[in-house]
Amino acid sequence: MSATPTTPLATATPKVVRAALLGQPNTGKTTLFNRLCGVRARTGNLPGTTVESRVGTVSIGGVELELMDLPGTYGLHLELPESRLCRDCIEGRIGQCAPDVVIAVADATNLARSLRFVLQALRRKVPCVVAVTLADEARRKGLSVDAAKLAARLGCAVEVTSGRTGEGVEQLARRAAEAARAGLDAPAHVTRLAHLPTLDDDVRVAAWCSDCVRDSVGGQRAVSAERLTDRVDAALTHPVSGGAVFIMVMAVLFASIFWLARFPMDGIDLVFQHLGGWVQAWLPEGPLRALLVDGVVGGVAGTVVFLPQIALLFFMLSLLEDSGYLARAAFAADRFMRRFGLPGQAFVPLLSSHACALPGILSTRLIPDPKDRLATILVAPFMSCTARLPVYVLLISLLFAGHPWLAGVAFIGCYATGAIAGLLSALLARRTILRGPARPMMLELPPYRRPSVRTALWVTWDRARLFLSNAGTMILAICVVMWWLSAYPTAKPSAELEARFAEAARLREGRTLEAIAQGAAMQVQAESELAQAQQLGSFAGRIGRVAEPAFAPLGFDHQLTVATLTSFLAREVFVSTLSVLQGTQDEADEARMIERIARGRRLDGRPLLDVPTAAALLAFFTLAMQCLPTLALVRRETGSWKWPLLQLVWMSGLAWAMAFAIRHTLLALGVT
Amino acid sequence: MPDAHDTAGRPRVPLTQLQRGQRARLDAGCMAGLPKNDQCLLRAMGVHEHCELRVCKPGEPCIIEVERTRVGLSGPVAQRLLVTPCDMGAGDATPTE
Repeated sequence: MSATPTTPLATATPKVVRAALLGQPNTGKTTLFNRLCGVRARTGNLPGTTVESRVGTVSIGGVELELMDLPGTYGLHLELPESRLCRDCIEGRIGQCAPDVVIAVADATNLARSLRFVLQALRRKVPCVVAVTLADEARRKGLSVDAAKLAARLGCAVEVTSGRTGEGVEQLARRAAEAARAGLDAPAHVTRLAHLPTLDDDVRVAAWCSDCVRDSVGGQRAVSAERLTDRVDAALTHPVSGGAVFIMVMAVLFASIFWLARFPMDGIDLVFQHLGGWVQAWLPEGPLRALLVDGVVGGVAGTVVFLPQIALLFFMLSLLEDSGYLARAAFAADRFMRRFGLPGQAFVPLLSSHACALPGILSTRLIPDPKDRLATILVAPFMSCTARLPVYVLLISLLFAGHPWLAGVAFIGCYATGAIAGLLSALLARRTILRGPARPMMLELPPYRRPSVRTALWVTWDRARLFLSNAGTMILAICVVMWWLSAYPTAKPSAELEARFAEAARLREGRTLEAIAQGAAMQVQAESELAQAQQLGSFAGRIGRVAEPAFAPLGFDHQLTVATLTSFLAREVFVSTLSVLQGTQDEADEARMIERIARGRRLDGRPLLDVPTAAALLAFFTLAMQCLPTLALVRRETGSWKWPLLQLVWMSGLAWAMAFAIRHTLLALGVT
Repeated sequence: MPDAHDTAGRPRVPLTQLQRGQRARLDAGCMAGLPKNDQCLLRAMGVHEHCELRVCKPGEPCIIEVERTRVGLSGPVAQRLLVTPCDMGAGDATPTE
């Protein structure tokens, strides 16, 4: 169903038409965009901003429509970032030029409210087409929209559409191209404005919207649906029942990204192992092979392995948002989160960060207020992610060997410490550097809908692609730099070590099994010592030695300092570095490796990890910011290096202080 | 301070005092207790002066329905929104459009 007072599409239409899709949240705007552009859409930040927008193209009747999906906003006149951005975009202050046409979205199931927004779009000096969305849903509710009558009222083309079914979508693109071709007829625009109420007169605006609805909308909505929605809303936002449902939904979400994602993650790990092995087999030994295997493949694998978690998280979040639950969940979490200066919407990103900070930070895009979002990004890495687990396992096993219950409590303590530090840091940030009035919780509660799997898949695909492009650029570059620092300069084996390699080779060619085994063991030992010399002699090792005085108050020697510094690449690197330095990297059994590290000695013969040092190390790893991919992502999401640097300094400084306090308290209590 | 009575002299009460299903009207000046930005946002969401609302769920959050839009309001916002009740009992709602 369509209506337009304009002329049909002519051949003189420009080849590329720039259109901006404008609308309020929950009006089916993004579903319409996805239907129009599908997988051809690209997500990126609007030029000069950190606000995301999606751009896609549609070919229609020989014309290419370049469509920009602007952030949803309740009004163009509001003093909110998303409103300012839409205004700036329409007026050509963002991007290369103003759009040729604006497509204003109006919700068929709630036309009266949408028309207030459409009225604002019509008053802008740009050709406008109205897309009445959610036509299928309106029909199910017994409502119908007469596009011709509405077009006559508005003085512009109106197309009744459904992003879900595709109804009217192609015609809409055609109308947009026509409107762009016709351009803005200034006298007609002035005449049209004269018939529209002014925006500051609420009474006239309300009456005009009601008249438009009365003229163009037929049918009556069923009352029973309202009563059911009332009851479901009351249950989902109730402190007890709402809290219980919220915990259950979050438990399923968390279990999915923590447990279900393990299977594809193991698969990705295996693929990269094979890829590394394949490159190793095909290239001759040398710097290029080392760069490709350890730097590129190893570095990218360490980040791409989190792709399943990110994909699952966004798929499930999209389903929850589409179903209408997420807005109710925000209220359920808001009571608790507000105490720490964060909105209810911050709960999901912080929970997701327990799996990995990368998806957690990406999901902060659900938070509308920029300061709330920034505060959430800043504290998300405090949450104990899976990369910390190997370090927790190592240190807690050392500290509480033979006391499984205490070990369990210590594990919970680590998770609780990270969460508490994060929430308190958020409170501090909101009262200092991110001070300002918190946006009170005023949320539209969209109607409950059957979520669209198609939309969820589109969202997942979009996020996954964005994450991979990030992993393939900045994160890859950082990984290569870190690899170079730990791989160069290459350690040359000493004469004594070379002699042992030669002896090992001679023994392995022996005739008895005993000699071959002895040779193999000697080879492993010599390789381990060479790797140890490489770790300590590399640039990273040298930096470790220089940095040793800074970590000496925490009881770290040069080995622990090197292992701590290399773990800034990724936390789990700590265990592998320490195993190399202690010569246990070939230990297949994790328990035996831990046992050998526990028995490790410093150069002066003292134990490597006494109780105060191990406790300090555990505290440090619980709180420190040791993840370069996360810092790179924070830089991308905030548009500045200022915030990741602040995060690095604050989290690591707090970790150092906490580790220092724990170590010296234990020493004062006589614990050794 | 917002006026405690509407133009017809009927008492205005905070939104938090209404029961489930009760209808009320927002009159001029009823949002005066809220910051300007919040007033603008509420208006843009459809909660504007002279509109009629229905309380879907009282308490925290307070859920109201205006022009087929459900809006959840945190306690402090609902407390500062003064309304004139249209009826006194908790009744069943009918569509406003």
